[in-house]
Amino acid sequence: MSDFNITVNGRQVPVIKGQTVLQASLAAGIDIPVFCWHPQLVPVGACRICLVEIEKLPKLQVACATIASEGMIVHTDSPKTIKVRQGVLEFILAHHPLDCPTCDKGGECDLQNLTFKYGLDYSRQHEPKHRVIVDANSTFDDLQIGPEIIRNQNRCIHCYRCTRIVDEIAFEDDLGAYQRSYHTEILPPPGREIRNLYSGNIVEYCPVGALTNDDWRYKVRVWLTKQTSVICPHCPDGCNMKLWNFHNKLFRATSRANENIDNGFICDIGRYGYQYVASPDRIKRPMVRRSGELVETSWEEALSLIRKQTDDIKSKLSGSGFFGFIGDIRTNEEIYAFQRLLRRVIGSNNIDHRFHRRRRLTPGEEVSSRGIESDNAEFKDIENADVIVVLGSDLHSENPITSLRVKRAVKRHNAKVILLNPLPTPLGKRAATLEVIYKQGTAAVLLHGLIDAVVDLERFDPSAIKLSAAEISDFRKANAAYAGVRGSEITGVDVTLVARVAEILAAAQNVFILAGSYVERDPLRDSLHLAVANLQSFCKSARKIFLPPDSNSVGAAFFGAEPTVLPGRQSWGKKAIYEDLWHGPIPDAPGKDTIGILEAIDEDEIECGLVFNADPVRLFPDGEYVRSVMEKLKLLVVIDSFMTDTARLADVILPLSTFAEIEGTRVNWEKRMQYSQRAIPPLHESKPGCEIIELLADRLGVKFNQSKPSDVYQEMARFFPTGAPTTYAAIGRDGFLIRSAETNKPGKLAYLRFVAPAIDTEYRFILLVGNADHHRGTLTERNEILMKFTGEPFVGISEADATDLAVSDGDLVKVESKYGRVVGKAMILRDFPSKRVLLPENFGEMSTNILMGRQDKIDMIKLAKM
Amino acid sequence: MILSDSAKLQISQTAKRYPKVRSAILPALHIAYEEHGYLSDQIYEEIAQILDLKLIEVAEAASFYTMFPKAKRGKYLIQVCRNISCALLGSHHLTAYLLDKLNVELGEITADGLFTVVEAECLGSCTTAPMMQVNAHYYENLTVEKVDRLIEEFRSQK
Repeated sequence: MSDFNITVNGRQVPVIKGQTVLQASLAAGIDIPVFCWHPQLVPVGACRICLVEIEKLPKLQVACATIASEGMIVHTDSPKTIKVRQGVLEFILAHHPLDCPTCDKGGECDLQNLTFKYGLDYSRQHEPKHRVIVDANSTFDDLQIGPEIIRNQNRCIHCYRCTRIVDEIAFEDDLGAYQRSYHTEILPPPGREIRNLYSGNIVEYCPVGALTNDDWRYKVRVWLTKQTSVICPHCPDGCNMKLWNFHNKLFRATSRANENIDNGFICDIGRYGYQYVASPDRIKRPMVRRSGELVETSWEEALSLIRKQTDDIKSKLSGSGFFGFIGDIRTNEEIYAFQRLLRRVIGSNNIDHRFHRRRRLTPGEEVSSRGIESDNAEFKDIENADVIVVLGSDLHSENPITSLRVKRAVKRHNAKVILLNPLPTPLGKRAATLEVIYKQGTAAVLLHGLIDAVVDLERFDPSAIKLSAAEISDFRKANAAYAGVRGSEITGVDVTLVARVAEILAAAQNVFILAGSYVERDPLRDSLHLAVANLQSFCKSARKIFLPPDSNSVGAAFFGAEPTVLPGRQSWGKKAIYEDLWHGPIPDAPGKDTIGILEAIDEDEIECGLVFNADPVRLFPDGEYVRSVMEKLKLLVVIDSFMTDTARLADVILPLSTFAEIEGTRVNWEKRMQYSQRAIPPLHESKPGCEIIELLADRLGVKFNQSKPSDVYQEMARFFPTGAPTTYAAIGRDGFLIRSAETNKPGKLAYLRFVAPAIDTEYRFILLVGNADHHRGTLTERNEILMKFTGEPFVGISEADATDLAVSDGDLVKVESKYGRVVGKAMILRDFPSKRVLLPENFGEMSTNILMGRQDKIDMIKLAKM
Repeated sequence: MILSDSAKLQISQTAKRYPKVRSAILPALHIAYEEHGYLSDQIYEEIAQILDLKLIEVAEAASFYTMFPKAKRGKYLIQVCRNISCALLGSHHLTAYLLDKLNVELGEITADGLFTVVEAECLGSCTTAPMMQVNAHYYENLTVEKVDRLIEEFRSQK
């Protein structure tokens, strides 16, 4: 591996060409102190603490920015270097306030630690220390520079880590260093605050206490806390975090730097997202409905009630009178145990997890669903791609850390980023080479037109792809209606723009396609999936990822939360294996999916539902219908942590522990299985999912003796590929990838049949549902800190439509569909296409699903000023 | 909009001379303050827009250079050198004399809007000390009489 050696402190240290003295030394376990250096940032040599002695060089050199060359003889602990380090520290401390007793960083401060190690017992600074006065009455000089971040300039040692993270990693522009020398001040641009989605990282990586956040300030001393390693439950990126607790109270979340995934940076949603755990709105005790009201009760009473009522329903309708919904944010263990409860104990295959942001499930989706049909690809592959295509995704808001990887590819080797979206997204301004806005519902046409444009290019080389000349020409013929100007008329995308994208794709060596939530919500979802595969076939080398909607959607799909697939994605024919394993029968026929379940309730074929951390009333299209159907149930058991819209209709509610109170595994979009520790014991009277499921199973007649997630995991492990870890201890820090052999092969070309939707003259606007700032999904609404960023629900409209309707920013507008209406404040969005409306899905007071039809392919609405 | 169309044009023309647009920030700041007299957040915003840069890049650069005026000042900015050669030859007396004559404090603008007096670090003209810089020009080997004459000249030019 190494190219040559250098000598450090008399030891031979291997060097890979291009490595700095610091990198080589650290890799060899030789410690060199740093302040400004960070493994993910470009070295600047600002702090001078890493000065080392290199023989034959007249002066000491900064190890962080000195490229190691053959034959170097380096001393990192010679008397001269020690003396210089002391000098640098004396210099840094000259104007440092030394207010350690009241500083939050105390105990984990790099400056404190290095002074402890190398410091002197005197200072030659006799003049008053320089002070940036913010508040003359307090020596703290705290300045709020963002909703959550407080700056104390006097403690700053000018390492510029914060501004470099904002600039180099996040590609944001809301923090800078002003003035010079000891007058330097870290501030947002004039008139603004720092509020980007990655802003919390600057607090984590500040080597001193100059940047702190409200979250953690003055609450606990760091040495009193315990840390646990968890997986962030907020999106399918699966970032690794540390939760810090003291006396079973959580105080903060920080990154647990995993190079495979997050590189040590987490988004604010993850960083502050844990706060919902301690929300006062948690459901604290079991509840039952008595004369119309939900009242608190004991576990015993709640469980007996469930037993009694299920007995009645079971004798009347057998197992098929039951259904189960489980949320995609639960652990694999809970999902697996839940479907086993349904199938084996209750005797129903009616189970689904696909009710979120989705309309009618399409036939055939059982075999290809929710990110599980993605190629084998990892975060690292994004970085290695030279062209990254983001299709139908607000990647910045929905997969913030995947978005960082895209930026990294741009930063490191100038990768080209192409956004194909139904609306402008934040990533556009920050990292896109080209941003294409198509009309929602026409993405498949756009991709086919794009393929045609690629083939049309002179530089297109058919021998570089695996298609025959006949296949290509047949495809082009079938595709003629979507190519060139004709395609452009459908998609609304200019032909020259399509040609520019085609140029980039044709020149690409290695393409990475990230398809997101607008693909899943596309009226032609299945055709679009095939169109992505077609595009892949026309690229020299390409990988595709269908980003799953929630943190463990892939796990839910893999571990049996779908009606027609058994755990491990086993087909129905393998049923006997499970009957053996679970010592009893499971029903013969596959179950119903979400829509089928709702219709069956409507027709009185289903009378009892178990809803596990899911809120179909709030999320599934046609919310009013879902509500009316749920109300018909004889028994609705909701297992949840919060009083959701669905829980309000429940007959029995069982309090469920949140991600921090349970252990278990999750699968991210890479299909990487990761283990998440339990940080604190269950709060209130809540119980972890596996325990609740075991209690229910026991009460309903079957004992599995698996109330601990680790027990469930051992059973699940038999569905992993051979060699995969079978215990939590064996999973390790990096997790493991669930891989199947037959992916990465695009297969045969699929032809598209596009029929333009009939135009309704009354409902002329297309509804687009997205995420508001610092929001993802609906859980973030329970979070005080994130709410500081998010603001109010809004109705996003284009400038043209605003003029048409004489609406200005903040005016109340009415959004109405055939199914329902909402009223909200207009927000005029720049560069937003006309005849579309963007609604955030995150706000309880403005549900978007009531505007959607269950059967509709596309959501059409009308818009009026109030 | 603070900057005139001609200033904007000049800035975008200047930008073409540099392989990296960022390099045009300093000349752009010069053009802006020569026209407007001082720099402000609004001007940074306008320059950022013309050069298609981030506001923060412009604001940072402007703040780094203390000699860019950041606040309104008199038509004539009098910078009296206070470093060693000038000081030995009585620059502080000159400063005091100027302030007294113009009836103004350091950094303030005279009532007629014409003058602002500030002290400057070495302006590199030690052989002709004491000296001062008024806007872009040096005035050297100063005496009280010479200062009187200069002030009269500036007043008459308005």
